[in-house]
Order: sequence, then C-alpha cells, then structure tokens
Amino acid sequence: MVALVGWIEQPKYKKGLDPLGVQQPCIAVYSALLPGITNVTNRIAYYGFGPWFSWSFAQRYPEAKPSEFIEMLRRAEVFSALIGARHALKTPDDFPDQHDGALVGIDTLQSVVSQGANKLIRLSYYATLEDVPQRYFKNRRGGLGQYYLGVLRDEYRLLGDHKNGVIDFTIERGKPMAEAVAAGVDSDRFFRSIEADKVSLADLDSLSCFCPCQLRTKTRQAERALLLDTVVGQRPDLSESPEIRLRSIGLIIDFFRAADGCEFCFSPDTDFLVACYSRVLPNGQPWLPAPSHVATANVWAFYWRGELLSLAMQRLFREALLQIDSHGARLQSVEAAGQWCTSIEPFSEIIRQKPKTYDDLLANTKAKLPSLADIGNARHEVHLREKVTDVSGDALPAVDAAIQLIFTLLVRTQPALLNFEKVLGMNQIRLENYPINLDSIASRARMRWHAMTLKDCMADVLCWILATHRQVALRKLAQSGDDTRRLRMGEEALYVYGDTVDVARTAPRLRSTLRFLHDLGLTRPTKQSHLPVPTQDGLRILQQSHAS
Amino acid sequence: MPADFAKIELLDRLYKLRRDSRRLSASIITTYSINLPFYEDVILRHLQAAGSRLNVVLVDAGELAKSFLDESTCPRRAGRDYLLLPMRAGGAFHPKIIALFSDAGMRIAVGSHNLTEAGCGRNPIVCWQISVSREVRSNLQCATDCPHV
Repeated sequence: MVALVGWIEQPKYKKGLDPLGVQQPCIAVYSALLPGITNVTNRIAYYGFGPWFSWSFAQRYPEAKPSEFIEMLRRAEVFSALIGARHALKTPDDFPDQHDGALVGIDTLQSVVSQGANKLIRLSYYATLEDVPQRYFKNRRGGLGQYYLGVLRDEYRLLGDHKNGVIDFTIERGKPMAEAVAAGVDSDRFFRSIEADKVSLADLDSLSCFCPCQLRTKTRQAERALLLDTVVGQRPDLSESPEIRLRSIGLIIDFFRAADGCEFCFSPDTDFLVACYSRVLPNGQPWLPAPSHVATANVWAFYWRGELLSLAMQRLFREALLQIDSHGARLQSVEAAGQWCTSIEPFSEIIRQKPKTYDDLLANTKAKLPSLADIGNARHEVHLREKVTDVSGDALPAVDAAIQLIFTLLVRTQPALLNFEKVLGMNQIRLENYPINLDSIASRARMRWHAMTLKDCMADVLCWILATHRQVALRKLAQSGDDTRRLRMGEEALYVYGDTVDVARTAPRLRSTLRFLHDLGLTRPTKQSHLPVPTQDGLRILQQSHAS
Repeated sequence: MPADFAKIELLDRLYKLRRDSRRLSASIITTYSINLPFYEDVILRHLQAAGSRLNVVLVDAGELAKSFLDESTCPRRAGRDYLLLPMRAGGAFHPKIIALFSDAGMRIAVGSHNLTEAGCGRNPIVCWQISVSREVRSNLQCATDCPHV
C-alpha cells in the first residue's frame, strides 16, 4: 500500500490556438483544396532536396549510423541555406527573397555570409544539436524532418520514415526525383564540402546551382519538370490528391492572368480570396473563371465565408471576456454571462442603435446589402472584416462590424449554396466538435433567433460563444492535458483567466503556393505592390487544369 | 504507513491513467457540488480512456438540482455513459472520494475536492491518495478509518 498526502496542483495553463474551435472547419476546407502543400513547406526546392540528400547519402555511406545521417543532414541544410544567403547578396535584383527566403535556418544563418570575406565557415558550428544561440534548427532531423517529411511521405511518397531517425527515399518515386536533382547540381562537390565541414565564400559561390532560384534555369530542368509533374499535379499517378491541387493552382493562375499585373488591394493571397468570393478583380473588373474552375472558386469562396464567420465570432468572444473581466461580474453560468453582456457597453449601445428584433435587423441588412461585386462599399464583407480584426482602436465599431458581418452572412448565400458535406464529403470533419460553423449558424438562426428581440438574440449568440469555448477547452484538457480555458468556473462564479483573446486569421496555404509558382517559373513578378503575371509555362498549366 | 506531503496534479494523474498498463474497470466518485460539463468532458473521458466502463457519481441532491437551472450545466451523458445518483443526507452529502478499480487493485483519493473545475484544480485542497494492491485489499478498512481533512 502506498499513501500520499498533498495539495492539489492546478493544471498548467497554455495559450493554445483557436479557443472557439471556429478555425478548424476553415482549415479542413483549405486543406482539402491544397493537399500536399502546407504553411511551413515554403520552398518547393526542398521537395527535391530531401529525396536527393537521402539517396546521395545512402550511395556514399551505405554503412553509416543514424547519428551520422543526422549530422550530415544538418550540415547539408546549413550549407544550402548559406548558399542561398550568399546568392542573395551577390545577385543584384529586386527580389532577394527568391534566393534565401524561408530557407531552413536562414534567420540564424543570414548574417554569417555577410561577416568577413575570407574566413572559413565551420558547418558543424551551426549544425550542432546543443542548445546554443548559433544552432540553426532545434529539431534533430532539421527542417526536412519537421516541415517537409510529412507531405513528402504521405502525399507524394517520395520519402519514408524510419524509427531510428533516418529519413529514407522510396525506390519508386524518391529515387527518380533524386536522380533528376542530381542531374542539375554538383553533388560530389557538395558532399565533399559538408564532409570537410569547412567552406569558404568561394565554395558557396561555386555551388550557387543549389540556390532555389536556379530551379528555373536550364541546368535544373529535369528536377523542375518532375516537380511540375509531382507537386503541381501534371501526372496524377505521382501523388495522392493531384486533381484538386491542380485545379486550385489553375484557378490561381487564371486569377493572375485576368488581373494582368494590376495593383493589389491587400496582398496577392487575400486578393485572390476576395476575387473568389466576389468575382471581382482588385482593379474593379469582373472576373469570370472558366466553367471548369467555377466549382473550385466556389469552394474557396465557402472557405472565405467560414473565415469571416470565424473572425466575427472571435471578436465577440474577445470583447465579452474583456467586459466580464474588467467589471468583475459574478456570473453563475454562460447563460447569465450572455444576458449580462447585453446590458454592458459596447453590446448595449449597439443593441440600442439597431432595430428592436432579430427579424427587423435581418430585413434591414437585406435591404441595405451591397452587391457581391461592390467591394468598395463600407457595408461589404471585405470592409467589415478589416474592422473586425482591428484590435488597436475602439471596441464599439469592431463589435458593430462583427454583428453586421454575421447578419450579412445570414442574408447572403451566394456565390454558391454549399455546406460542409458538399465540400468535404461525409464525416471528413466532426462538426459536433466545432459547434460554431457555417452550417450551424444558419440552422440556429432559423430555429432560435426568429421572432426574438435583438437583445435576446445577442444574449443567445454570446452564450453560444462562451459555452462553445468551454466545450472546446474542456475537450482539449481531456484529450491533450493542455489547459486552455480562458473562462473558468470558480467555486461561486465564472472568472476570466489567461491571455486576451486574439482575433486570428487562418493561413490557407496560399503564400506557400504562390512562392511555389514563382520558384517553378509559372508566374513572374511585375512591380512592387502589383500582382505577378503568369508565364507561358503557367498558361500551359492553366490549360491543363481545365481538363483535370 | 508512510506519508509524504506533495503537490498532487490530480487532473494530470487521471490523464496519464490511459497510458497505464493496468486498465481500469470501474470508478466511483462522491462529491458535494458538481460541474457536470467538467465531469463529462474531462474526468469521464479520462476514465473511459483508461478502460473504465462502469462509472458512478454520487452527488448531493440539492447541489445536483442546481445543475438543471441552465442548459449549459445540465447532464448530457448521464444514464447512458455513467450513473448519476442524487444523494439525500440529513445535512448535506459531503464526502469527496475518488475510487478507481482495476483487476490489479484499487486507488482511492480522499480529500476536500468537489467534482468541479475549482475543486480539481484551482483551490488549494488537501488530498490523500492511496493505492491498494489486490493482496491488501482486505485492509481497505483503513481508508474508511482515516480522518476527514
């Protein structure tokens, strides 16, 4: 028998992501639209580099131990990042980012090439696994292991994962990719350098063929062609979900073709989403995607609708918690908290200014609804989104915009009437775990809010938000042990705990995709603050995507 | 009987039960006040993940009645995934005991921890936890003899 007497310890608080579970449905949609590309796989050159390194290492060191593989992989990642950084310094162009942008460990290594012209750089000094400031990457298996391995293994079957830490290439797909890379680079010299562990700036210059920008040159055309087949999805047999990826990429290229290098309003990726939603280009011209792309554009628009709902709900959650916390209100339940919030500014002031009932506000929103294409209108979703996410100013206009946004989404069902089942198929996401979503808000509006006063409707919205947070946070506590509760039940009342809630946007993999398109030479930049335009190869991919 | 004062991460210990090679078979928890979403979404999930298929909660009837005042605090899984028993006592039904049963033995935590978020995590609450192997289960009487804290 073992006995222990002690004080109960509080579980450790963690800020966590997505405290309302509103982002998860959006993530499920964009993950389905761009499979095999993630927000951390920023450079497509690593899709070739990984199999090439693994294959080259196996050929040169067939008897090597796992620890030797790790050591050489880390040196290779350091070396290739230094090559990119050096090439960015040496090449006078307007886009240095195309050389060293988002290379693994570049934040640590960028300054190394600019210090001292004649010194020798010891790769293992930066490749070390010890916890020292100069270490380029914490994960033992480097960026390849942390960022790229997942998709290269699961979507493209280029790599395999061994328990002892070695990353292995596959014979069927990894080896041909490795050979295609080897055809365009000086593998022997690269390996001699990382084996010697000391490189000079001259070595970096002489191996500039490894810079990601060189993927567009003739030297590396075999690698580029195979990447186009594999990642862009020209050959359906080389990945698990090539068709939908090719359709999304085709749609993006079609958007750039139609926009013809015009100035962008927000950023290229956001402007693409706005265009999918409103069918208007940043220059105000209408955009009519080809019939074969309309369905894909509609799903991107569905993602964007979900994103708008997510932002509006996060904003209301943030303000409700701020009010409960600052007033020290003693509230026994989320129902009481929802009711109480409607009597406190900014919620009370907004309710006072608006029509008295839910139905009246809905009718009012419908009457004043700008056309989908009128993206310059202050009542358009595009502008409401900007107000909702602005946490620097007064809460009142932001909460007002959040409520307007919710009502706008309820009255505007265009451009396509979709739901999660139509978009993702059955059981792709367990929506009961994410109670606030586009499907549920429509049915809640029909079933509960109809004929309510606006005050009661707002109380129900806020109660729903607070209850959902508690459900999501308690589930996380049960599943992972992470305590992310911001609204907790004390002995007598609810109380607010932890960080202020962020109004966080999701990142739908478009930045990585746009970089891929540039790296592969499918688009080319124009002027600063202007959209890129497709190249001839890009237009060829566009044609092919119509047939997919 | 050896006893050490310590900090007991009760929730963490319950969470880690799922990785324990000794699978649970049943649990009985007694409490005065209760937060049903907390029990159903956290504690019960831990117990079920650890293998416990028979889970019983005994709670003061007056306190349980308060849970029915709001939709968000009503029981959702009682009668289906666990047994929820309102207890009537002369004053109040006040014991706080967590008893976990497995083929290898049992574990008991006796303390002042209600089955609420605050009781299992926030408030500084003394808990006496004992593990009893199958062989000495006959000595279980000692647990009932222990002083209430």
